[in-house]
Order: sequence, then structure tokens, then C-alpha cells
Amino acid sequence: MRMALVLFVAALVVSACVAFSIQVSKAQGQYANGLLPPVPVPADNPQTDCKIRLGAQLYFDKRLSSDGTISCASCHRPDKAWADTGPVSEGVAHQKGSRNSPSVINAAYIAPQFWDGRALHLEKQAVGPVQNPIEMDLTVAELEFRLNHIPGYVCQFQEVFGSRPTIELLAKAIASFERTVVTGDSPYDRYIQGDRSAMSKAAIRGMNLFSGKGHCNVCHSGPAFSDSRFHNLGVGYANGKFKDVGRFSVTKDPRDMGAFLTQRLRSVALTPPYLHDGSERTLEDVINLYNRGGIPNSNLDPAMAPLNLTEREKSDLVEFMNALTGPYPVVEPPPLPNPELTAQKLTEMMKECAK
Amino acid sequence: MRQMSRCLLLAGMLAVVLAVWPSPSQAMPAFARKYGFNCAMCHSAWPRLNDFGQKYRMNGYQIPGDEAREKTILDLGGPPLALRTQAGYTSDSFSPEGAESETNQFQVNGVDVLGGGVLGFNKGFFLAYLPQIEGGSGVEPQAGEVEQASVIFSRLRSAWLNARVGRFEAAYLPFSRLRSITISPYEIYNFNGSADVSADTRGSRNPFSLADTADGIEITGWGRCPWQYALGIVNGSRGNNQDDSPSDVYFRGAYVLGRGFGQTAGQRVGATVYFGRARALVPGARHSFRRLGLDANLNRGPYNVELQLIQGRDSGAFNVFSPGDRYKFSGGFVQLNRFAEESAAFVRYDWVNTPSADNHDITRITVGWRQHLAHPLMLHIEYSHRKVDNGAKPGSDLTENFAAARLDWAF
Repeated sequence: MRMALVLFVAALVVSACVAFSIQVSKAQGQYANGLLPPVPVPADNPQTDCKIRLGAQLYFDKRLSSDGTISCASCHRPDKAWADTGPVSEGVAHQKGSRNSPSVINAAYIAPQFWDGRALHLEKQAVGPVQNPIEMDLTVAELEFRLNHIPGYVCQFQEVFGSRPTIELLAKAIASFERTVVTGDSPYDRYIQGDRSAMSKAAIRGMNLFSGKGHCNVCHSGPAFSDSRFHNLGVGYANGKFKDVGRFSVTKDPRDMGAFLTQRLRSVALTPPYLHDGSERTLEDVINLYNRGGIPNSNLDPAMAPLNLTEREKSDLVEFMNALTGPYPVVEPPPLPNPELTAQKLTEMMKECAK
Repeated sequence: MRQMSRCLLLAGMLAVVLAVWPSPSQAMPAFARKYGFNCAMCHSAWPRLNDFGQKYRMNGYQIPGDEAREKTILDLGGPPLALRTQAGYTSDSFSPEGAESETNQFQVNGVDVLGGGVLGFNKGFFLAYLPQIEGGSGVEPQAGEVEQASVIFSRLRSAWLNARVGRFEAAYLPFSRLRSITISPYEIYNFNGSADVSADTRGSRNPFSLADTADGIEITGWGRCPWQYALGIVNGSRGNNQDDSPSDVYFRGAYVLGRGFGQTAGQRVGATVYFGRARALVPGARHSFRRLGLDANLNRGPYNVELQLIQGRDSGAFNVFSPGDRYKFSGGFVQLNRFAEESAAFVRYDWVNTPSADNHDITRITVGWRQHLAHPLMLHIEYSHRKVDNGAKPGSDLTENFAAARLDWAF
């Protein structure tokens, strides 16, 4: 009997030691278990300081919209964790889009961009809103005309790319700038790296729920807490149809009906409202939606199921979301080249040239 | 000396197992390690599955909707194996004295070696091996056997067509015996002609037991609509699989009311029918028997009710007291569970009604509690009182009082 007790206790101690040593070795690694790896940079668009500076100017430049009122920063506001505050954002002429503006933070870490993934990388994403008639409403021709008639930009494009401005090069510059908007040093990161006081007990419980009963980890996985895939939560489904068909608009695959890209979770607590239509005002509301198992529809993601979370468990999950908040770069609008050349002036110049 | 060798061997095996292990474990640890999940992902109070865990199992050990991205066992960094054992204090006493051996000691209660994972796209497997343990010196004996070894071909056309081949716990058990949160068995599942009450005094000599795993093939289906089904051909329980392999058949249908999959959310009701053939504990022809079952799994907040009713009918050839007359019995159980964040409390009443000529009715009441101490460790406390009417000697019923406080450990 005594031998059995000794054997069992010894096994427990050994397993605990093994578990602990593995956790420590993981924590001592460069990154592990979700900690941010270096930002992936495409080979054909390496990061350079000059390009990033140019990208920052373009990001803040409202002359890239038809009436000179909207820049990238209008909807992805650096002072609002690089997102917007309303369910949807306003574009030119106060038009409203149909989808919530996602934060730029850590956008570099996931491959598909936009809620429906229609752009495969940041370089493709950057040119989308510029041409969208609801957002910035510029044709490619008008955009390139404007850039090529702002001498400061012409010089910088020449210096950075050795070429006159084009929409592709504009996209590369903006993408390079967006790759600097990252956050990783959150209480969660510090906790995983061995600082056991970095997260509250509630947040630790929430972390366990995240990869346990809540099974959030099924989709919100990886360093940026997104699997870069598309899932149907039933959001926007009513009267037998979706208000927004989501990924289906890109693939035309019925299995993608109502599916949207898994959103990144780092600093998510700073970017309400949530979901593709901004329909949930708070993280608690989002968790309640998941707790109900989403909104039933014929294409609901198979991983969606009621969770039976208690009130404390929901609160713990919110605490964990808060613990994913790290410092992020706050960038002041840089001085723009040739500010005297307003959007209106550039439009008139283009009309003159057309004559 | 022999005992010392055995201990060294056990310690050596343990060291090898721990040395090759890639990371700390939770729940069915091979799965938890694979995804970086913890046990609560699939279990409401392990080993009992929650909605997600049940879907995962039925989907061939693949995350539903993520089948294309599943890592196969060849892609993993370590062996997809896990170990589970229990140890603690057990008190098991019987009346009248001497009816069974009595236990009052600290002991290790069995070791399960578990393996599972994905072999290829929509091909999963599950293995449960119970190594032979001779017992003695505080170690409960264990018969060596492959308890489960099955391959699952999932989504043959859709989730509505999956096949499981090999040895497995069949779907005719709506409440898994192997993943029960109680130590005390479900009486109606265990009931057969060679159960712990002497076969000489049991009215039926049918060795079939629902509780055993079976060899065969099972077709299952589930989807977004509330229906689930299972259809199987198996060789019966290992109790009635003697010299040849009978071909028993069963069908189960279940319907889930409300949101959920019927394990921890939604209200699941089901019906099962099983037709089998077995020998009457002696060489000779096989005779037919039938089991009909109704079940419900009801959920409301943290509370869960498991209800099982089963009616059994054995051929007259099995009947000891009235040969030629069909042996009919009925029974079931009702269990109330309360699942909290880190614990589960349960109370269950089991009953089996045998024919009046037999009068070996069984009742059992079980209460207990499981407390999650750490991811691979659970404290289990349980008390169970069992009574078996003694048909031969009215008034001298067999009673059993079982109590245990154990650590349930998986790695």
C-alpha cells in the first residue's frame, strides 16, 4: 500500500516538474504560445525608413479622397487604437459604409484583409478604400494624376522607388507604414514570458476559459489571435437571409455565405463596437452572442454552440481580453508635401489638362 | 524482490513516457496538447464530454469546420498518447459479510493508455489500452486488454455519413460508461447473467452486457438539424462473444430540442433498439434477445439531468427459473449533475427490476463531487449504496457501501 502511494506521488511530482520545465523553456524562447514573431514582410516590398515616412504621409493625406475630406486615418484613427468609434464609418459626402472599420493594429500578421478577405495582403488592401465610391472615391487615373502633381510626393516616390507615383507604389508605401503599427507587450505576453503577476486572477481564469470551455481558441489562434479564416456566426441574419453575404461575395461558394474574417484580438478592448457590422457595442455583448451559440442559420459555423458560461466566466473572459491590450504606436499626422495643392485645386488641374 | 522489480519496471516505464512527452497535458491530453487547449474545451467535468467535445468525437477527432487544417499524427512533435490513472482511499464493504471481499485501503485503481488523432483527411483513430496489472500491495488488479481500437472515416459525404470500424463504445449507450463522472457503474448497462451476483442465482443466463465495448462497424450521422442517428453491426459484448462472432444490430435516433448539441446545451431525447443473439453461458446454440431504450439529457443553466429507461427481453432459453418463458426485465437511472466552473456535483438513482420469479431487483444510490485541482488532476469523492434483493432467501438482501476519495490524473 505504501509503495503504491509513493509511486503515485512520485509520478505526480515528476509530471509537475516536466510540465513546469516545459513551460519555463517555452517562456524563455523568443516567442511562443501566441507571442508576436517578427512582422512578416514580403520580399518585393522591404521595409525602409524613407518608405515608411512616405507611407505615413499618404495614410494621413485627405487629398487621396475625391472631395479632400477622407484619409485612411479618418476611419482607422491612430488616437482610437487605429479603428473608428461608430458601427460604420463615414466616407466622402458623409456616406456611410456597411461594415465596421477594423483596427490597423497587427494587420500585418494576418494574410487576408477586409472582412471578406478580398485582398490577400496589405498591398492589395491599401488600394481598395481609395477607389471605393463610398469611402474615398477616386479613380486610379485621378489618384495617379494627383500624386504626380504634388511635387513633394514625386520627389519622394523617386527617392524611395526610383519611379513616378503609381497606385501600386502608393499601396506599397502605405503597407510598409501599416507594418509598423503593432502591439505585443501586453500583460498576457508578460505573463506567458514568466511574469506571473502580469495578469489578474480573473484574467488567468479567462485565459483558461479562452482555450477551454469557451473554445475561442478554435478560431482566435496564433500570434495575432486570428486563424485568418472565415466563419459564420449568423451576425446580420434575419428573415431567412443575410444583410451582408460576407466571404460569399468573393468566392461565390455557398459554404461562405455569411462568413467573415476572424478578427485579431490584441488591443480589442480599445476598439468597440464589434463584429463586421458593428452591431455589438461591448465585449460583454460579443461574449453573450457566442454564449448563445451565435445566430442559427443554415451555414452557421460547426464550431458554434451554446457555451453555458456563467456570469463570472463571461466577466473573466472580458478580463482576459483586457489583458491583451499592449502599448501601440500613436502617430501624429506628419507634415504633408505641398499643402497648398488642395483636392479641389488638383481636380481643377486635372480638368484643365483634360481640355 | 519480485515486487521491487515490478516497481522499478513501472518507474522505468513512467520515466520513458514522461521523457518523450512534448508538453504538459490536460483532459484527453493527446488532443489537448495538439491544439494547446485545456480540458474544459471538450469536457464539462472530464471525462464527461460537453457539446464541443461530443461534436469533436463524432467528427473523427477533428475540429468541426476545420478538417482541412488538422495535423495528422505524422505532423505532430510527439506521440499522440496519454495516460490516466486514479489513486486514493477506497472503502467497499458488503453485507452479509463475506459475500465479497472487503476493501479499506489506499490503492491505485487501474491505468489507461489512451491514444487518438488524425491519420489523414477525415480519418481519425482512437485507442484505449489497459495494461495487465496483477494487483496486490495497494494496486487494484487490472485485466490487460485493448478496450478500444477504432478508425473513424468521417464526413464520407457530409456529417450525415460517418463510419467507425473496430472496437469501440457503441452509440447505443447514450450516456458513456467510459466517460462517466461516477465510479459506480450504471447498473442497467452492467446488467447481465454473469454479473457480480452469482450466475447461479441470476434468473437469466444471457451474458450480454450493454456496458462492454464491441467489435464491428457503426454508421453515424449528425448535422445542423436537430436529428442524430447511429446504426451498427457488432459482435455483441465481449461477454457473449465466445467462439464465434454474432452479428448483433442496433439503431439509435436522437432529437435535440432547443439550441445546442444535447450534451451540455439543448434538450436531447433519444430511443435505441438492439437485437442480439448469445449463448446461455454454456456451449450450444445462440438465442435471441432484445433491448429497447429511451433516454433524455436535459440541461438548464448549470444543471443537467440524465434519464435512461431500458427494457430487456431475453429468449426463454436463457430463463433459469421458468425455462421457456421469456425473461423480461426493466431498469434505468436518473442522474442530476450540477456543473460549476471548477467542479461537478452529482446524485444518481439506479434501478433494475427483474421478474417476480427471479426477484434479484437492484437499486443503487450514488452521490459525489469532482473538484478540478489542476489541469491534469481532479479530486473525486463518491459514496454509493447498492442493494440486491436475494430471491432465494428473502430478507437477506445483499448490500454494498462504497466510498472513495481519489485523485484522478491524466497526463
